[in-house]
Amino acid sequence: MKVVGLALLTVAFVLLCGLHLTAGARFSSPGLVIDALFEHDARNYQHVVVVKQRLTRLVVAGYSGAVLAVSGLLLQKTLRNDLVSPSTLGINSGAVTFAVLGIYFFGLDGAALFWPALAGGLFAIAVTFLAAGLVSQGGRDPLALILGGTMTATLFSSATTFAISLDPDRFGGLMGWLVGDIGNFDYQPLAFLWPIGIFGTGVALILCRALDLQTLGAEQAATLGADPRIVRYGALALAIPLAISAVCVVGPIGFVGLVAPHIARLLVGETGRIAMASCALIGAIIVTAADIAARTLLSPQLLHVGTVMALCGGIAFLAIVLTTLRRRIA
Amino acid sequence: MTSHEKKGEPVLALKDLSFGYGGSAVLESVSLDFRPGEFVAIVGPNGCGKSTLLKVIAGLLTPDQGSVLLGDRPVGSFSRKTLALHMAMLAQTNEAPDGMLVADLVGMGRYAHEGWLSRGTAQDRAHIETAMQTMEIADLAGRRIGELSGGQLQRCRMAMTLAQDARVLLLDEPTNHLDLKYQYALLDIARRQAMAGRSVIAVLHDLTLASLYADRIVLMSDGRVVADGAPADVLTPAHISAVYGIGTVAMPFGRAIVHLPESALE
Repeated sequence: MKVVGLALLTVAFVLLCGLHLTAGARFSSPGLVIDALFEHDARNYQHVVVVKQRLTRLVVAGYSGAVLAVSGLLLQKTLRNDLVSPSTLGINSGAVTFAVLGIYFFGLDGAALFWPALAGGLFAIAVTFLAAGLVSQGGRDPLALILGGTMTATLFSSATTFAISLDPDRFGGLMGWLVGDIGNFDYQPLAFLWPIGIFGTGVALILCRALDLQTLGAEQAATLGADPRIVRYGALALAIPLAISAVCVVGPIGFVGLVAPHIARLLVGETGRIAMASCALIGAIIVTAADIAARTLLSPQLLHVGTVMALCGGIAFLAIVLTTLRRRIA
Repeated sequence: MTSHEKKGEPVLALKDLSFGYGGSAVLESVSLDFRPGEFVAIVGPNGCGKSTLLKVIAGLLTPDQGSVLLGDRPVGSFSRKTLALHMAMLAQTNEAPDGMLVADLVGMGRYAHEGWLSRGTAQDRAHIETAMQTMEIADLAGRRIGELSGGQLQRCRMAMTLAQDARVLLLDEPTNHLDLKYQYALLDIARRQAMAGRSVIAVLHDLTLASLYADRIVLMSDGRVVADGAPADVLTPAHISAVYGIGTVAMPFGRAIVHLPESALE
C-alpha cells in the first residue's frame, strides 16, 4: 500500500521533471529535450536553454524541495508538533540574516555562506525556544512554539533589512535570493553543498524508526529501546543543516517543510522509511511545480519561486493551523 | 500464595532505593526483590510514589541513593536498546499520532529486536501476531489510532508491550480507559504472562482487582513500603486504615479481598 504510494509519487515526479524541461517562455518539444540531454549540441541555443537554464533549475528545485521537506518532517516528529518547519521556527530567517552579515563583513559568497547561515539558523532556533518558553511558561502548547518562531522570524527579517540598508547597492543582485528564488547560477553553490543533503537524508532514513517511537512520548520510546536524547539531538543536528543547505542555494523558501510532511501523512501514512522518502519526493514535486508556475504564469516575465510558494503555502499554513485548533477544541 | 519464595533468584532487585524531585523525597529506602513467574501489584494512595518507583525501575529516573539491579548489573549501565530486550513498560500516557496504523503501533514493540536491515523478520511478525491475538485486536490491524476508543487504544498499547517479548513487564495503571470486561481480561493476560515465567510488576489502583490477580502485593505510603506479601497478609483493615486513613471491613471472596468502608455499612 505504502509502496504503491511511493511508486505513484515517483512517476508523478518524473512526469513533472519532463514538464519542467519542456515548459518555459518558449515550449521545447520532448524530442528536443531528449536530444539536448543525450546528444547535446553546445551551438544549438535551444539545447543550451534546456540544459543551462532548465536542467540546472530543475536539479536545484528538486534538491531544495526534498531537503526542506525532510527537515520539516524531522522537526515535526522530534518536537511532536505538526506546525513546525524550518520557516515557522525562524531557522530560515536567522540563516538569511547571518548570511547577509557574512557577505557584508567578510565578502563571502556561494557555498561559503553555509557556515554563517548555519550559525544563524542555530541562533534563531535557540531564540525561538527561549521565546516560546517565555510565552507558554514551561507548558507544551504547540502554538506557543509557532508564536515564538514567528516573533524570531520577524526579528531576524528586520535585522536583514537593516544590514541591507547599510549598503543597498551591494545587495541589489541578491533581491531574488532574499525572497527565495531559483536562479540560473544556483547550481554553483549546490555543487559543493549536495553531500549535506545526501548524507543528511541517508542518516534521517536510518534514524526514522527511532523517531517514530518518539511520537508515543519520550518515556514510552525509551522503554521501547530508543534513547530520547540521542534521537532528539540527532534529529535537530540533521534537520538544521539540511534546511540551511537549501537556504544557501535558493533563499528562504517557506512552507515546503511545513506542508510536505502533511501531504505525505495523508498519502502514505505516519510511520516508516517509505513515508519519509515520500515526504522528500513531495517536497521536490512542490518546489518543481512552483518553479514551473514561476516561469510560465506571467511568461516571459519571471516570478520568484519564493513568491509563488508564499502565496500557496500561506493558505496551506492557515488550513493546518485551523485544523489543529479545531482538533484541540473537539 | 507465597510460592514466590521458592522460585529461584530474583530477576530484579531494588536495594535501599531513594529518589526525590529537587529536595522533597518521593521514595525512601525501598528494598524489594522480584522473581520470575511472579505477578506483583504495587498499590497505595495517590502520590505515594508507586509510578515513580516504576520509572526508577525502568531506568527513566536515576535514584539518588541505592540501586536497581537487573540480574547482577545496574539498570543504568545498559543501553536503552539492550535494556528494552529484557524489560518492557506500558507507560501511563496514551500519546500516539492519530494517523498511525494499529499494526505499526504494535510493531514498535519489536524495535529493540531489529537490526539496521533485519526489520520485519518472520520472528517479529510472529510476535506481533500473537500479541494482537492475545489482546483481541487482530481485527483492528488496519485501523488508524484516531478512530479507536480509549479502551481499544489501551489494548493496542498493551499488545505493543507484549510484542517486545521481555522477561520483565512493567505496567503503569494498565486498566486505565478499560471497561469491566477488558480490565479483567488484561489482568488475566498479565497473570498468564507471569505463569509463563515472566516477572510482571503492575501499579494498580483497585485493591480488589489487585487481590484477585496478583501473587503478591506491595503496599506503599509516602514513598515507603508499608507491607509486602501475599494479598491476604497485606490487605488487612489495619494496613488500609494506616495507609488510606479510613476504617474498612474486609470481605474475603474466593481469591479476592473486598474492602468496604465502615461508614457506608452502618
